Amino acid sequence: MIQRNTYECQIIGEKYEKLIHPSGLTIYYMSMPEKAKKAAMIATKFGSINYCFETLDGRQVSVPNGTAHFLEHKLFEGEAGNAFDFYGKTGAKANAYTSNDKTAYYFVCSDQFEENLDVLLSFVTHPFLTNENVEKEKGIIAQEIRMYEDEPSWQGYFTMVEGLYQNHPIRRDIAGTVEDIYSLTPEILMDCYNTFYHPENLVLAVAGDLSLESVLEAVDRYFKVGESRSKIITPIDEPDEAGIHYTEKSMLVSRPIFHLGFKDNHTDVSGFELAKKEMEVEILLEYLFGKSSPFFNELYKDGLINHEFDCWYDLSDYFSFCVISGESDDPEAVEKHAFKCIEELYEKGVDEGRFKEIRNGLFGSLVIETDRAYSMVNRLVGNHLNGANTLDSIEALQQITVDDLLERAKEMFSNDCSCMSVINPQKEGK
Amino acid sequence: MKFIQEQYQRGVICNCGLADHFKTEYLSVDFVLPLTEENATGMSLLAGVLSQGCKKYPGIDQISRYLARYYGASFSLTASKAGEMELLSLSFTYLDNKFAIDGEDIQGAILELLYEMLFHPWIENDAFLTEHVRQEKINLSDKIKGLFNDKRVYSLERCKELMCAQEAFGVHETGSIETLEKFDEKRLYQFFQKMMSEAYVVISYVGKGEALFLKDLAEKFCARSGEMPSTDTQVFTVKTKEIIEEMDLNQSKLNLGFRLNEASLKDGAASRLFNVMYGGSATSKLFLNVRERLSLCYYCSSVLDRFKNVMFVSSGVEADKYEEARSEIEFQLKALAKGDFSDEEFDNAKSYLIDSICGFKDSQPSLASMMISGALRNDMKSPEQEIEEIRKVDRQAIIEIAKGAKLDTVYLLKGVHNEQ
Repeated sequence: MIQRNTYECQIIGEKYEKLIHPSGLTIYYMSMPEKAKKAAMIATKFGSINYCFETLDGRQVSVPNGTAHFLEHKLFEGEAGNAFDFYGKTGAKANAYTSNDKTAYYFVCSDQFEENLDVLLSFVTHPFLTNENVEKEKGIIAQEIRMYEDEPSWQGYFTMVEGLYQNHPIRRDIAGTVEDIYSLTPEILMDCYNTFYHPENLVLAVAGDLSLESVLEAVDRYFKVGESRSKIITPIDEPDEAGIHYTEKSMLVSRPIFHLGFKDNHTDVSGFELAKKEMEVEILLEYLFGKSSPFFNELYKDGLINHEFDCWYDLSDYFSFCVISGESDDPEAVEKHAFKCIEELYEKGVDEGRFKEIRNGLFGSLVIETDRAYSMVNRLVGNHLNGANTLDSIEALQQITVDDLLERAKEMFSNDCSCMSVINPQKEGK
Repeated sequence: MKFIQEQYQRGVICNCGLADHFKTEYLSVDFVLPLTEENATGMSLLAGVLSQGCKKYPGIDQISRYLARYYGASFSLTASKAGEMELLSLSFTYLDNKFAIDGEDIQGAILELLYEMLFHPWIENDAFLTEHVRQEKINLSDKIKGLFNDKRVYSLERCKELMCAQEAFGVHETGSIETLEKFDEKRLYQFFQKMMSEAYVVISYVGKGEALFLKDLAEKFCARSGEMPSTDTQVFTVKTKEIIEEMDLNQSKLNLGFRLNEASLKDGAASRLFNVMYGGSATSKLFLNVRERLSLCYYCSSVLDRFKNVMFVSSGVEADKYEEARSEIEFQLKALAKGDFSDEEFDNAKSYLIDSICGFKDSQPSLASMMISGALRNDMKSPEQEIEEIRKVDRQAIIEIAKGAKLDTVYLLKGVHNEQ
């Protein structure tokens, strides 16, 4: 039997359905009448931080960095050819990505949704790994790794994560090193596949002008009931404090690039509370550092930051941290100023007028998101894997009070839990 | 959907895409000038200075707060190039009025901000504020100096610059530091006034209703006396140039610039199909061969500039694989020119493009961008017409374009590790 629930947001009149297929697969369905685009995404809770498991025959396995990402590349290949050859017939745009905590495969199309869904499910459920095709992929991924090695903002971000966390598996590089991936074999990849691609570890989201029945028929074809699964182990033993507070590197850049991270150790939140927490942090970031903030405007006038400046929140059920990032000749001054603004927030409290404006702004961007098939499937999948419900954000936003914000700020922004990473311009000849 | 194009004033073109199903609306004004160092630098500097606010809403914070109040409306002000034209684009995306919790007129508020920003800029004594211009000159100069931070984009732009050194197309869209030195608060304001009265204007709106406000907006601008800027497409390759520059990098960046023929210029649909088949998709010759078959790279793709009628291939490879990658890229072009492609490859490329165009219906920025391109080449088409043209293209048209593509410039940004 299929379990079925409807989630609705009265304020904007949107809803979606959540179903649990007998195989254990979770399915989200959002109908978007009149939309031309249709999207589907299937994801597994298998990212760079998930590297330990116990197989059905009792072996303890720990895989090299870059394994989840490598497997993502390989699941585009099947016995009958490359997935792109099949999507090519319909014109769908297909891709995939691997992050710290998930691997997601998706397509967006205007026509022939059922055919495309069949391609997506067929490739994700039928790994085809040979010595030859695994070797071939190593050359391609090695070049992807090389490309990231030369990208200053990615290097700055990752250096910050390494400084912020001491033992957490988030310190493991998503793509791995060239040496890591050259050690991979079809056997290691199949072990991972059997563990992490079990239907209970997968989630499928579909959105657009399409029928649920056809989706369920496709799921029935590819997902069978009653397969046993191996045990996933995600060991996390992380002290509250950041590992280091300052870290730097030199690369070919014109000005220093900084990433200031704040680690939050309160990761035991889920459901509606998680949606509310996410909105609180989003409001705080705009309030403290956004373009409407005194922080941004003063530093901009002083030439300490420019329009490259950005701030955002990264969260999953394993980690939670904020980042403020930009270009500056004096990252130290930016950091000092950031802490000064946080202190001022505690002293002066929250300005009601600005709080309401920012809340209005966030409301608008959430509504806009519900208008796009790809944004919705990506959000449904991401929220599901973190243990939250997508439309909760809009309801949660209305409940947030000034006191909630102050409390959240105290949890989020602490000196002990911050790390500043700077990518400095490399001197000539170095 | 309904598409309308009107010219209420000479040189002020209004594009309109109307449908009832959107949750948001999109409104933009594009100013179009010939691509020169002066115009590229001036428009890039203006993008910064005008973002500082206007008389009524002075300050980045004032504008941000105004937009947040109206339910997270977003605004963008950027300078970019299209062929040998430089564009300054001011655009807004905002929620449909029906979502205003307190019943505000969001569209009206956005129109007001647009008017204020363009017609009542923050000036004193016939000049922009000294402080703003000083600050934005530093920001723009930093931006120009920082172009090499992203090696993939930098190497592609460098290839364009080297290939078209004697043509307007060789000018970078952000302008140059030398030209920037010549601008001060007075001169920039004169440039702004000149742009307001002489540049071609393209107003684009995607939303619902009858959009009667567009006529009023268009009439705020005076009629233009000059012609729409054009792009020189009659430059021919005599001999392929090969330029290698070195940088301390792990991965080398390979870029190839091609000039396309008259057939490509005349048949935009065929030209786009050719690009999709060659390197514009995951079923293209370059993706399947340079990446999938030979494992030489992670990315190898081609892009078209239809105004200039040129195409660029970019890839990231190991330095010692340069020759092999280059020869494969050239070989795959010859394969297309010989007609060495299946009917399936050809049909797939059509499906790819048609699917993209169908999807435009959901995206106001994509529809606006399609309408703006149409206005700039004076050849406005609806998505349906574009799809019809794509369906009509035959195999021979692809072969003719592939045959006519001449490799003009090969630029390798070679990764070397200098002695520490």
